[in-house]
Amino acid sequence: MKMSKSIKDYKDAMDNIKISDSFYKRTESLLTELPEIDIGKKPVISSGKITAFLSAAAACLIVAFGVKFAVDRGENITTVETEITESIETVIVAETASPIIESLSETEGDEMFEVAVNSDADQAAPTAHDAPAAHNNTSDTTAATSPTDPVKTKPQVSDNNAGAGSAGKTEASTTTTPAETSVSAETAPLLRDISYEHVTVEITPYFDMGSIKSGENPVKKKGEECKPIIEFIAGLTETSREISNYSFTSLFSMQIADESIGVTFYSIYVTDLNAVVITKHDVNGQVRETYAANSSDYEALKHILFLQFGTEDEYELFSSLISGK
Amino acid sequence: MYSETAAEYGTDSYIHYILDTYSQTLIRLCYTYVHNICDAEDITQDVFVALLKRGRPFDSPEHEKAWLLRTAMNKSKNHLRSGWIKRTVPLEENDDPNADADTEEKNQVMEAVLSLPEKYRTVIHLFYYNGYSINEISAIVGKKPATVGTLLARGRGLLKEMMIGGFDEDE
Repeated sequence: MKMSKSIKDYKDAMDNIKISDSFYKRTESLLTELPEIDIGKKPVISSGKITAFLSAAAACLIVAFGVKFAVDRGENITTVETEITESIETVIVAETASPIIESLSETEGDEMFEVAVNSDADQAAPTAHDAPAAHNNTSDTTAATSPTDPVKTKPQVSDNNAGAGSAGKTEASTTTTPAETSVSAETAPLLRDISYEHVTVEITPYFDMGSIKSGENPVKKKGEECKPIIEFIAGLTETSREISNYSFTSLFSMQIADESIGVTFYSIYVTDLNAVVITKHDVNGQVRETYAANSSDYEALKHILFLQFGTEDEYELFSSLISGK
Repeated sequence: MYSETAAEYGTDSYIHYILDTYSQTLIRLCYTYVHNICDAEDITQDVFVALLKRGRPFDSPEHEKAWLLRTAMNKSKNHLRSGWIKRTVPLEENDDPNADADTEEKNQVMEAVLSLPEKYRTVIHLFYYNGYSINEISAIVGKKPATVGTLLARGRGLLKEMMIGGFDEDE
């Protein structure tokens, strides 16, 4: 008669897994020989104390900036602030008018990862492989035709109507999404494995501030120029937890493409609420993952992206306006 | 530094501290994903490298532990998604000719747990093997405590269905 199984059997079996004798020594050598330049030298805004100090200083900068604007243009401070606030409010209204997208996204839930797991290795979950793929295709198809989902709609404005200004937003529902045009027979490489020989990253802002216009004048980077941003995002996916909340406002989008084959592999949205949404497009369909970045990584990413469009001085104002909404 | 015994971040002492404290835990957690010890060790090394590259110390030991476990989970998932893994077939595990019936039964239990869907497998492993509380697991995997409780219950239910003769939680 078989003994009933207990969790102790699992513990014993796990304890019996033999870790190689050389692991400790090899790893110790690897870590102690890491070049100093690789340890802790990331260009990040490293602590909440610096962020708190910048927030406090931002209040003074807002007043100084507003006075400068008023003196230069003969306008009052109230008018400048109203103009910026209105453009952000418009984005928020669009964000809330997409209950269908949100409900479909919630059902994807924790099974998102099951799409990519080798079904041969995990026989206990065959059904999980199909459902999320169906959900992904369904939700993305719905998103492609819904003019009210800003996460999908906004890239259309930048890709197909660059320079068209606000008129581009009303045409969004009739244009194809980057997701639809980039479906290919290729398998998207992991962010860490991207070859920089042919890669391009197109960054688009989704806010109005001074000369920066939402959805317009995207910045395109090629080759090794892309490396700092892509590696930062890759690191963020490895260290941040995934979340299932999909209600947020996009601040920037990035389209990562292989120029040699004309395929966009990743659409990345840096949003408010410290969330980064990454949609992968390849022969297996579209897979969307949302990560909750920690404050310092999120601030650093926003900083890197903002500096593609504005100055360091303008970043202080941008940061305080975004955090204050 | 958050305790009198923790070594200063980035020093050789710190490296020894994290190797001594977390190697076994991380390797075994990675093993539940990749099912082979070599890949689990490699991924664990990557986690430690990422830890040093992070460049700043943690606020507390709990924060450090949660960060390491979460990073190990994410890197294991990335490993499973890599093109290399999809294009290769693992070598057959050699049966240990000296294995007795007791060892084989224990391996059956481990195989059953490892065959669970990832969301159940991870919480089962963290709860029963590592002894973490539901709140600790909630912080590690980024799910609500109630959700973790539900996943644990469902995971146990699946194990009971798989095990001939049932599955006891009591040791």
